[in-house]
Amino acid sequence: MPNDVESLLPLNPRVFYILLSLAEEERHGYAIAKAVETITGGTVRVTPGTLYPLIRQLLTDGWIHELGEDAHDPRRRRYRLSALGKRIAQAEARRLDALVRVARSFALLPATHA
Amino acid sequence: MTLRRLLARAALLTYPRDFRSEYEEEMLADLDAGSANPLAQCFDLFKGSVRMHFDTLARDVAYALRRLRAAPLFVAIVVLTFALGIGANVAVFSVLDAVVLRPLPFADPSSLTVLSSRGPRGDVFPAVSPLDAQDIAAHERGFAGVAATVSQQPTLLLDGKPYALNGLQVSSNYLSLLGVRPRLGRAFTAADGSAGARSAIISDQVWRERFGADPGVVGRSITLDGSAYRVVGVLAPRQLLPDGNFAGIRSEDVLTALAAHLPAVERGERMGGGIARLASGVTLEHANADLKLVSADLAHEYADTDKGWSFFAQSLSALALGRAASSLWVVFAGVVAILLIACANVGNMLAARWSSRDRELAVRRALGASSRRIAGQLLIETAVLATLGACFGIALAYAALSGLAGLVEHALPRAGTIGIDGMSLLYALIVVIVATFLAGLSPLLSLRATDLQTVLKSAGRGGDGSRRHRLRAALVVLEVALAIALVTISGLVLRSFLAVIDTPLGVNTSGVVASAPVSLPSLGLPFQTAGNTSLQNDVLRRLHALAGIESAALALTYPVGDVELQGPAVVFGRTYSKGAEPLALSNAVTPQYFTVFGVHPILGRSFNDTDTANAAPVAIVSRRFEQLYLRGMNPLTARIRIQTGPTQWHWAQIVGVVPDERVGVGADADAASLLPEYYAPLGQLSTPFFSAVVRAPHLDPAVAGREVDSAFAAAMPLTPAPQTFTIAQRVAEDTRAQRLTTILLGSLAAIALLLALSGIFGVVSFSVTQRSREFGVRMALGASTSGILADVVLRAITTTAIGVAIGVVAAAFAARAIVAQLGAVSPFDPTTFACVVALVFVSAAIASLQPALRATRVAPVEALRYE
Repeated sequence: MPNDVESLLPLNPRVFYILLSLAEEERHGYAIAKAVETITGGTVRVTPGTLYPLIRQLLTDGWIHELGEDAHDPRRRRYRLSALGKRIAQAEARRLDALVRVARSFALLPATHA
Repeated sequence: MTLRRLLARAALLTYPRDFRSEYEEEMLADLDAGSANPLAQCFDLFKGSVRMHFDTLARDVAYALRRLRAAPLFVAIVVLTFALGIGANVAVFSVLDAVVLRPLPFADPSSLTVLSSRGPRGDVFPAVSPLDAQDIAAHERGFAGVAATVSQQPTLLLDGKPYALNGLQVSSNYLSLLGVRPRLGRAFTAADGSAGARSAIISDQVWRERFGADPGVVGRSITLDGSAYRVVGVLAPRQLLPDGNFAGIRSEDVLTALAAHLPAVERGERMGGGIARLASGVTLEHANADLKLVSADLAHEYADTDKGWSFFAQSLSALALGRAASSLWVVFAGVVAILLIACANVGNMLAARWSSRDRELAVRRALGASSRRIAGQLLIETAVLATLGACFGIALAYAALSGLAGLVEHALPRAGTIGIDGMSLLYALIVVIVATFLAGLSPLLSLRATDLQTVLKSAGRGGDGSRRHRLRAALVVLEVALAIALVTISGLVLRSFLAVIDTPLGVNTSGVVASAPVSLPSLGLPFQTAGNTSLQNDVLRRLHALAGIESAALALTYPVGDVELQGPAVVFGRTYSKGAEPLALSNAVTPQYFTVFGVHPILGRSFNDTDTANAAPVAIVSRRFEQLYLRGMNPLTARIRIQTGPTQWHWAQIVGVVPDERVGVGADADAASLLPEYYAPLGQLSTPFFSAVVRAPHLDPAVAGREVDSAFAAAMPLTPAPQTFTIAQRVAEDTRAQRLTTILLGSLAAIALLLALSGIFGVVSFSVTQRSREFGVRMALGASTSGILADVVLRAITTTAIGVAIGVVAAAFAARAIVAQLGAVSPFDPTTFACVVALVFVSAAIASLQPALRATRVAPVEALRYE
């Protein structure tokens, strides 16, 4: 049902980065925040006040799953991307890719990329 | 570390409880691991919590809207109910705020007072003579300043055309005392008060309409009453000013500087106004205590005019707004009652709706939603309905205020400032919040009362606990009681209003058209001197010549006229202690005056054309005058003293006695209207003004009015034609404030009754639905249709009866509280109470009839199928 997923786009950039960080591997909240910072080269930070409300929303909507306590730190829980979450992240990536291609064809960006 | 923890925990407290219990630990762990500034962290957490609450609210509102979309009829009825309740509140609050609550548009208005006089007979009025005002200013230490005013109606002559203006002569400190600054030019200075200075300040309206908003008007010379005045300033738009007199506050067309030396003014002529500002730290009581001493000094010094008189200060806002305030607070109490009724109504509708959906709610609760969360969602649903209602309500209020604008204009002070503004919207917001809780509370309570298990088990039966039924009936009782109180009060106010406008005037006013007084000084003439009546004769001749006019007369005043003249009633041969002569109304008229009003002398004769300035002075007295002041005398041989000019008087022979006429209507006019009256021939007096009265029974009043105008215009081309009206119109004008209160309360009563009836209908209807199985069984067992019908209707009547009992007591208390506004009507007027009670019972029976009939149509088989 790609159409279904597309109706949810565009994503809030923070949500997209959270999904990306979880696409790599399952993480706990703090690791997600760190990963997002790394992925974006420090330009986007998700603080606890932003992160956990989003995590709860993503859990409720079934985009991510909860895996239980972290082995090293019992205060933390680990999360992983659900199949639905993955489809959504892919759809967002496709959308962004299409945008970038349009920008290239209008010579807004260099035509080739390494 | 501890500070970080403390701040973080504090910020976390603002998150929803369920979220906190789920994520608090993780968030704290993250915060411990991070190294951000503790304050920034705390702020960040707080921002997150606000966003989260807002998201939840947005989702709840969306959820509520989605659910409400499924019940359009329910939504329509609830929104309409709220719209009526909130709309009435917003409309009345807007009026109350603009007229009463907002401070007067002057600097420190609470310290402004109006000087008033108390006469030897204890009569009190807001007026002093300008000379007394000057002396009070000089001697009273409790005042920071005193300004004197004298009202005037000057004629502005512009390009050969006369324009009638309303204005004040004011002492040069008037505007600075009030803290009012002109928009152009300057306020008066002491130099404007010097003899011959003749300075004027015009209103913004006159500036626009007559001078084309030309800024060059300042410094220009204009002609007022034939004299040249220099314009020194233009007032701000819609500037209200106190006249220090009967009008309270109003807008004036022109202000002229009152000369500091007032040679022509009589100390005994208490027709001016005095505005005093209390010195800082001085209370009204203190100032009045001091004023008592000043009065005693003046009474001693000017025994001729001031003996027996005393002066006191009244708060300007109380004087200017007091009457309107007391009526408007009554109306406001009415709209609060309406809001309560509306909320009780909606509460019952919500209770019915939520109970029929109990299973949905129970299931949601079983699935883990907390009671708080469910209650929150239901409150949001209520808030959404109240907000929708408020939107329509504000539109209704706007429409109502526009519709009432004409009625309100002259009935309330500063009516021009009434409108839906920021304060109205703020009030609407408060009402929405209050209404949400009032309407949502009782159904939420009844929701708690239901046991989750019972609801789940009774699937398909929709049982209704008796406790809930009692709650619903209690709300209806409340509605009925409030409606009874409101309808009764409005009925009493209506009766008192009808009594006032139907006050018999003692004369036949049908077909009579009268003019406003025409002021002779405005012609630039000196006081009309007795005998020099050519102008009067000219006007009178032209009036007589008009087609369709049966009789015409000139008079100083007439029943319910603008002017009320009082003077001492002094009978020749009797002795009176100085200053304590009895009081009488006085009038001066031309011979046909009594014919115009269909009055025939009881004794003696009317005036005739031989009663001229050169003939022997004569007078006519009213029957009450004869009874009170001429007891034991033959009236036709008695003589009374008649004031013939500012300082002259003569003894006049009484030649006739006429029936009493009433000179005014309404609460204000009552005492004075019952005074005895005497009449003198107009031609034997020197008078500064006169009015015309004509009888034209076969003419349309408007046509007759135009004819009178044309007679004036022909005789006095440089005077603006006076307004003309029928006596009934004058009565209507004098009772505008009461008419407004009556209409407002009447509309509120109608809304209250409508809402209470819809409440009865709703509850009976709901209970019939709940009891349909019972009815089915009873019908199957042979119960008669009429028995079931009677059962349902009687139950409704019983509930109503309790409400009626409480309502009647409440109404009696409320009526006693406003007894001052009811005039001659008793607050316990049995007719009104009986009519209201009957009306409510009949309406309750009608409201319950439809559901009752539905109960008799329950098909036994249908009802029993689920048994």
